[in-house]
Amino acid sequence: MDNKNTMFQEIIAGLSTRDDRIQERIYVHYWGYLMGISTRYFKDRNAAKEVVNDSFMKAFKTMYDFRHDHNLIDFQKTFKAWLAKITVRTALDKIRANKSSLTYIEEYEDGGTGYVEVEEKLFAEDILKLLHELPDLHRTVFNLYEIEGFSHDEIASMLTIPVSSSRTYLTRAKQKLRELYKKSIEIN
Amino acid sequence: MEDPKKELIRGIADLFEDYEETYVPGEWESFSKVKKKKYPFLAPWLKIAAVFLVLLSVLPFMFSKFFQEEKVKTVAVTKKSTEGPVAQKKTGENEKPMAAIAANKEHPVKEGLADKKGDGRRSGLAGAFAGIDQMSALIQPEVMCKGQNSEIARFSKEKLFKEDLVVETEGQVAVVEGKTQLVPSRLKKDTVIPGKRNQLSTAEFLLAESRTPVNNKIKKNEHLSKWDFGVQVMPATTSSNLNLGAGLTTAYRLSDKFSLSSGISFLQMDAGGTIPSRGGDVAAISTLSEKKLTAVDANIKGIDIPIALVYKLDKHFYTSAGVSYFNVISEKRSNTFEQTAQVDKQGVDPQTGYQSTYRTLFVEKVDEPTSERNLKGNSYLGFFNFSVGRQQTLFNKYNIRIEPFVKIPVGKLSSQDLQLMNSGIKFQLSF
Repeated sequence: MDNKNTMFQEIIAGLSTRDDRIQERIYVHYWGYLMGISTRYFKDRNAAKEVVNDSFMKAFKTMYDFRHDHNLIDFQKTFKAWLAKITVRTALDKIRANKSSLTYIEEYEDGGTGYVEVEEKLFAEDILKLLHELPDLHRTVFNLYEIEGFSHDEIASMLTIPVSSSRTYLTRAKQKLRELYKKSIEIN
Repeated sequence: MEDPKKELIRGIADLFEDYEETYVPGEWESFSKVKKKKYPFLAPWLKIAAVFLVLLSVLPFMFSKFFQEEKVKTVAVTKKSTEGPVAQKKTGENEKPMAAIAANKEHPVKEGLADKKGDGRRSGLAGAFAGIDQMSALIQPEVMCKGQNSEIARFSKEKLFKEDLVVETEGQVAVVEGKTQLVPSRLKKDTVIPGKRNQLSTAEFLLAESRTPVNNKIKKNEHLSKWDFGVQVMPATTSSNLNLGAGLTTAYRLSDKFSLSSGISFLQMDAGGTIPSRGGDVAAISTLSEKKLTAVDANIKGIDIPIALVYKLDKHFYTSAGVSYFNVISEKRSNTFEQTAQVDKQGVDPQTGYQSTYRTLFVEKVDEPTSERNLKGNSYLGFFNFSVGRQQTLFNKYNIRIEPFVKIPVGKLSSQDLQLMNSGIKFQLSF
């Protein structure tokens, strides 16, 4: 904990003095977290890495003007959230650039899978596999709403889709995930 | 601990809330490489791009200024039919200045009346007309913009022969009572009365007739004077030698203040460079013989093609900044070595009278021509040029310019061991 505090103090000091050397510390410390975000949007690991690196580039350009109140705990939270936001937006830009992936939506039947309890401990790798079986647009809406915490209005404007579509895609994504989860449990 | 009874979606959200992958060593290193590679060709051209950026940012400003000057300066003159002896008398007096105005567009109408009356000249002008009672004129000042000109043109035809004379300048309207036969030429600068040519008085006819060719002439002169050609010689000095150059110059006038100059010059430069000694005499003594390069001299002949932006400070002084491409066509180099050799010398001891042999270090300087041609054909950019000059017009046709300058080497030239930075004075004769 002390080491972590020292590191954040160094980051704060580096930001105020515009010291480029803190970039490495920030990169190494947050790379895993940003990769965690990026892999939720991209099945391809190289694409996910590319998004992470682009996000760091953007962050390194503007982070010296990052405003904070020199409170260590607040800084940790806000700085992390800021990096996450950059990564999500960079991921969306990349998805938008590859627009065809957003236009194709696999239609699946409305089933009755409404509520599924978690039977055993969830592992990120397993859930990621399930997520990547969803259509890109469904997965993106699911990530943005359920994990990132954006509202349907925000998602609609970010993805330039109607709000009602955002709701529909979320419902379908959840439904599909439940089905896939149940299947995976049954197989195991 | 995770609640096993949690709903799947809630569970997934919680799982990914703070999910992190473990850092893979080497990621930062590969990221750093990518970051550096992003613009690999940018750095060497950064300076050149900066120069072009400055030029490009200045050019639109200059062109807008240049086009503004092209706007026609119009003066509308109205007249009213009048009668009376005063008017007749005034006509005779005023014919001479009228001709002068017609011949010279720049004849300051305002000078006679306006300058004396200061800022309140417009209303004062109307008052003056009223006082004269026999003259009337509508004077459009030179500064009036295009929109105002069209307004004057529109109303002049209709109102020319009305009873009252309206003087309208920049929102001010003055009504002048009076009747005049002729417009006093002193107050006229120009006449634009479309469609009324056959109704003009003799004086106006002459004015209108004489105005047309003069204007054309002025336009022609303006057109011709945009280009400027000349010859120049430029003695210059580097840190060690005196050089001479000569060439042709040309300049294009972009606006009153700015012009773009270029040309071609042949430059002969004797340049030198000294190599700092390493180790000093102690090292030299320790070896039996040594040959050290102490200085490099070069005679370079090349073609210099400059392009520069010239800013005219006032009628006589101007300043210029630009770059020049320098192509080396001939280069002769000679290296000066300091040769140290250990020699045995024989001498007679003055005390004993015996012959003795002693060793001594013999140092001599040797100049050797070298076959190295480091510069020839290699230079891709030559110098940054800065200068300030004074010009004097001779016989209204020729210009003599004296222009102290400094040339700072850039690109490949600057990395040589020669001191190529030079300064001198350009003497130009342009026509």
